Amino acid sequence: MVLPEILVFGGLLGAVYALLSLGFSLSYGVARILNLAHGSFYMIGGYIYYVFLTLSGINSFESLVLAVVLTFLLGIALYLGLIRPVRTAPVRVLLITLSAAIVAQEVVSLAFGDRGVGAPFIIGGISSPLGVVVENQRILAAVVSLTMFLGVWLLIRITKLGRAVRAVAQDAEAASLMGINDTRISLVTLGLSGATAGLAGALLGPLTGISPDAWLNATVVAFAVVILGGLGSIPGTFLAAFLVSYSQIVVAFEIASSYEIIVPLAVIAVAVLVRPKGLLGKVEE
Amino acid sequence: MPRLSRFLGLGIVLALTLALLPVVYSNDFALTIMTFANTLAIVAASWDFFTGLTGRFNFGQALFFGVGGYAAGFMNLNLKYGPMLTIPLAGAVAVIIGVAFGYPTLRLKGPYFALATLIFPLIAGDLTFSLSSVFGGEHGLYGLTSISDSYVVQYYGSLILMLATVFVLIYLASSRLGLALESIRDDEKAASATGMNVTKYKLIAYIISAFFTGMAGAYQAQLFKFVGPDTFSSNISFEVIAMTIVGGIATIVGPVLGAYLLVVVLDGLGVSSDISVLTYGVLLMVIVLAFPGGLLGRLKSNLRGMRIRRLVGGKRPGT
Repeated sequence: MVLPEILVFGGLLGAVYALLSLGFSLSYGVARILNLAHGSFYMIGGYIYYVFLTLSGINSFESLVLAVVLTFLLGIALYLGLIRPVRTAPVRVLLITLSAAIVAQEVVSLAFGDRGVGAPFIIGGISSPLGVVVENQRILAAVVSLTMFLGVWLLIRITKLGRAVRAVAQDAEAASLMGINDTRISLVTLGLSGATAGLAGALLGPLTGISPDAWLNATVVAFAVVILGGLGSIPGTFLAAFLVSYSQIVVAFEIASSYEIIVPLAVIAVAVLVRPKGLLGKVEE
Repeated sequence: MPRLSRFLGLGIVLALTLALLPVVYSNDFALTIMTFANTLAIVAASWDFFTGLTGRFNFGQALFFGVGGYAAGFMNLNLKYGPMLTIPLAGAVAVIIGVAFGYPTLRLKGPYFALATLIFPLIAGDLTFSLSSVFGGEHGLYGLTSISDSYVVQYYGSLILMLATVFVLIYLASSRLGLALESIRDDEKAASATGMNVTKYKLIAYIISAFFTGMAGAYQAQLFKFVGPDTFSSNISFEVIAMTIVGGIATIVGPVLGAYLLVVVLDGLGVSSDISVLTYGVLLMVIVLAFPGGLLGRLKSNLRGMRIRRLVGGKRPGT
């Protein structure tokens, strides 16, 4: 009876999860940066969209573009200001990105309160695919996410820059010997990371509401997806995003939505124990 | 042994100052802050015992704090156990939870364990909502029995618990167990090659850390006569990391000083919790950036030089 609901909601959520997780996968797979502040891009993207849309005269499309541009710049700033100086020590990268996430959370909380905000939808109305009533916003979020995901995937697949990114992912040292500028690739990776997660937040934020501590859940989901799909594998990330979203939706419909958070953990535990490299993973730990 | 006498002297002076505080300056507000500082000092020292000694970052210490609080609250309300009984029992419950979460995850390599620990308190926090008939949802458990309504008694209670915790942790850290943990931190493969069950040792350190943090959670629950989902907040996990990094990681005493410094300064100034957590964040950021030699460089043998085991009459490892 709830099968159509699960199919529709799981599929639409999965598309956004894929976009959310893409950057997390790239920054670890390519630049070897485990960015705990990845979910902060999501949270900040949601807030940027909200702020421009409700507090200035800009329309929703322009707010969405601004969210993408500003989170792209934020990703670059995060890399240059905080990650680059400690890059060689993984533990310090974890600590510094965690501090960045906490600082972002508190700054947003001071500015807009800690209860969270609900931004207006980009498009209103409802549709009923497979007889399931769904907000048009949710469909739009999935379509935009898929388009952006595909765009980034093509960028990495066919452009020269993308080839450089893949070269660094395969062997950073050899790539740098071939004249590939490591800093430039890391900047691109972190910028894309910020922009994609920021867009995901701006798209999903109006549906779920967004609060200063939303970064933690977003980071956890991205982490589960990436572990399951394999670090740095874009097709793997794509598949895994739907596995995670469907599991969460099944749990939410069949048990209780408050158990959703257990899904990423279970996914992580099972994936790491059973298949350490991920479903389609290539990167060796 | 210049180093020992320095630390010992400092410790005694500190303990005496703290013990005399209510006599010389009996201000309810100050005592409340200091009680709070003692509680967090326990959590920070326990966090340091696990992470400082094993080198495995635990981003979810709040799990044990919350579990301790809720266990104590549950036992107090439903079984009518008094605080003197619920505090140690809450520690035991935290140990059980520590085994349940630690056993499957402590064998994970690289950053996977650290990331998994981020999630534990989220799960526990959500469970208090989904099992709201038992744990009260967002209202938490309230109307708990406290040890005493006197600020002075509460202060001394927390001080005794804190001093006992630090003493036991330092003793353990300078025992054979501490040595084994440090060998895992410095080179897990080598440690494992000597035939050591590294996961077992990490689990032992993890549950010791859980035990004391659980008691701290229970102590705070009886102090406030209340325990709520905020005890699982990632802010708590984060604050104790900042306290430890400020005070000095892998020193057990450092986190205590860090806790006093940060709690007294921030709560003393009466800043909001947002400002306070923001300060922790900026502080941690600055410290991580400012020590390019590496925090983990300072991890090595901070405790080894102290030779505490002589103090407490323990055997030196390998003899």
